[in-house]
Amino acid sequence: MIEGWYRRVAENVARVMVGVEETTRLLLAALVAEGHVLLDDVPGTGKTMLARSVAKSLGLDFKRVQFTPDLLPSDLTGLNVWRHDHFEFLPGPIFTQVLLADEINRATPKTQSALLEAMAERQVTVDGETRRLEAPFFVIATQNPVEMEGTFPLPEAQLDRFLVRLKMGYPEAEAELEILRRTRREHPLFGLGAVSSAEEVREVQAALKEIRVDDEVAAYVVGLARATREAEGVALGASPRAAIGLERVARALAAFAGRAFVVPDDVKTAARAVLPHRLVLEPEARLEGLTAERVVEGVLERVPVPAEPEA
Amino acid sequence: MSGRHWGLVALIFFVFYLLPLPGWLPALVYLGLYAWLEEGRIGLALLASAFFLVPMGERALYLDSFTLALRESLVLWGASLAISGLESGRPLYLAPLFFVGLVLRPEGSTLALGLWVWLVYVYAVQVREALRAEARARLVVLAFTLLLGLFAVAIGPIHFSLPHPNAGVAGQAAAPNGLASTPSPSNAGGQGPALGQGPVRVYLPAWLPQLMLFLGIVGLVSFLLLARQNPGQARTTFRRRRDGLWSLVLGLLGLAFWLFATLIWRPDIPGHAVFAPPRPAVTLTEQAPGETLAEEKPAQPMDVPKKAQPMPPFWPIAALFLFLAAYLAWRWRSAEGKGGGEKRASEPPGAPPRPVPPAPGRVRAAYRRFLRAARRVTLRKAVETPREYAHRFARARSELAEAAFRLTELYEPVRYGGEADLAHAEEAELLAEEIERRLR
Repeated sequence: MIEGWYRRVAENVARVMVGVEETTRLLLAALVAEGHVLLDDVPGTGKTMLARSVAKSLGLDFKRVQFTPDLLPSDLTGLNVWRHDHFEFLPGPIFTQVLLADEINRATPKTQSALLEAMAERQVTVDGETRRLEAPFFVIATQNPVEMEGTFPLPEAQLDRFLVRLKMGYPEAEAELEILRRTRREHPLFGLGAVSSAEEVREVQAALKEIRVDDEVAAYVVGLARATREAEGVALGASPRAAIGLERVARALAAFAGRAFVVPDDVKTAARAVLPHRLVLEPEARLEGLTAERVVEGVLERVPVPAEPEA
Repeated sequence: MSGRHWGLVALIFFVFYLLPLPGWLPALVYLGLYAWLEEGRIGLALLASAFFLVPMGERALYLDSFTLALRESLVLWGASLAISGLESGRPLYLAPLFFVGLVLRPEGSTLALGLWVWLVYVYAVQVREALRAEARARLVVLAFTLLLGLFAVAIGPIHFSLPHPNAGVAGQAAAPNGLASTPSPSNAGGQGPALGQGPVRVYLPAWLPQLMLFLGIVGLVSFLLLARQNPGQARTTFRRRRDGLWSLVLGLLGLAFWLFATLIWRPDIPGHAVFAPPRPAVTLTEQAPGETLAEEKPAQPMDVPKKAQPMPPFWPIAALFLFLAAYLAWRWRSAEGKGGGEKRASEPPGAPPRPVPPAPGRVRAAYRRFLRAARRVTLRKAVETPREYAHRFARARSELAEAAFRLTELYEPVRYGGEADLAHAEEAELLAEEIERRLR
């Protein structure tokens, strides 16, 4: 069921997006795993377009918020206004199913933290009143890693709430040519129809729980998370929440491949998207050129995979 | 004790019983080396056992030594197949051992003939398919069959007359069933210790053991050659489960009959002959050159002066056999333990508890065989997933890529999905065998 759904959505997204199949796969995996995505790349690589294509393909309600330094939390969550004889709640853009938080690192930490409750609890509290967000609720945040002036880097607590961080990267020459061809007349996004629905997404999310994770594979997941904490040059390793997220994304990838069980390859693929943004490197190590991605690769090269013993 | 351990006990007993006492030490050396060196080094183990065997013969008795070596090789080959079969949980591999045993004990000729027919049935499809698949195999099998058939006729029937430099009663000592049919070329001319010093009964016509030997060697060689060329064919013989069951039942019946015949029937005790009723027997006596070989005499109970027999070191060798059995059992147990959830001593105290994996089944055993065979090409790293390893292996041996990927594909659901391995066990074993064969 999940495999068929994934193929349908991915093919639909591919009508707009060229050369980002792997990013789409991981993004959809995060959605199915009930997580949120941080798209981290330079402007113009298709981050917003990908988010909109996914939202349209899924048939979900979509809103986009351009984060700026003067954006207030109430601009996001909504506020109570006096109407005649009573207060009426005007919901903010956060009351949607797919929220694109564009350039999230340009908003102040106060506004960024307004997202915390919504992302983690799937609820919003305004003036002491808590309101549930309609499922599925999926945040796709983007940030530009180059222009850092006037930005507020996301705190670790906030980063940990993003299930995966993805990088788009520049397309290959052939793919870029295809993009030119497709956008010459009318942008294909305008003609993109929905191939799924909120109800189906909820079913897919529920079905993911049936994917089996062998005890030894689960131990491998834990082993990877623990190994990041002991890695050289790492001040803060992956949290238990990271291990939970790693297993969930691995499950989604297994389901997309048509399997009812997770294999270590799923875990490895998921680890590259789930772990790096949660690691805090020591300043000295960072100055020496160590990156979180390299730490994760090192961990994957150290932790034994559960398989048959070498003969 | 598991079925495999019972099988091991039966195997050790079988080797004990089949070989004459002086052959036990080389057999022990062979089996020990085989267990130690693992599969694929049978030749080395045979050479080593032959080294222990050769000093036992005398210079004038090369032919007898050679026939003994041949017999011993057949038994040991059967034993090694049996070990492989037990290790991999394929009882069918026990069949050649019984067949070899019957060839070596031609008094069970009736049963041997029946089992031979059964084996022909079992491997007929394999032979036909192999011949059809590869024209060269036809020529090779034909040539070897003719050659060994002629050789078998030339050396005469097999008997247990180990040439022993110290005893004129070696023939009796090494022939517990007291069988000798026709003199071998080495003793027909009166050279060396004669086969059957004193009266020895002959119950079977001389041509029957010869025929059995010939057929046995033909069958064994054909099987060996074809199994080497395409071991997977033997498995496909049983496409239908019922055929496999029938074969198993026939094999077990044959074994029971054989055990009855060889253990209960004692030709040296009057009235115990099963295959042939007591009747006037041909008596062989030591002959001078040119004299008549046999004369008709009433059957006499064989009187073997037991105290005069040489006394090989029975108990030490028996103890060594038991030690070997214990060693093999320990190896299997430890191999199971590796696949199982033994707590590793090197684990740090804070490490998460290692869950107990499911018991390795046939698919996992097949995958382990693949790993063992592929070790010659490239070792699997501990941090490599089965797929990553399959890709790396495929880059090194592109002609085996498909088999490696498919085997990995079959392995994953069993290993990580908790699925029963019955459905694809056959296919996985075939793939492992194919990879093993092509990497050999």
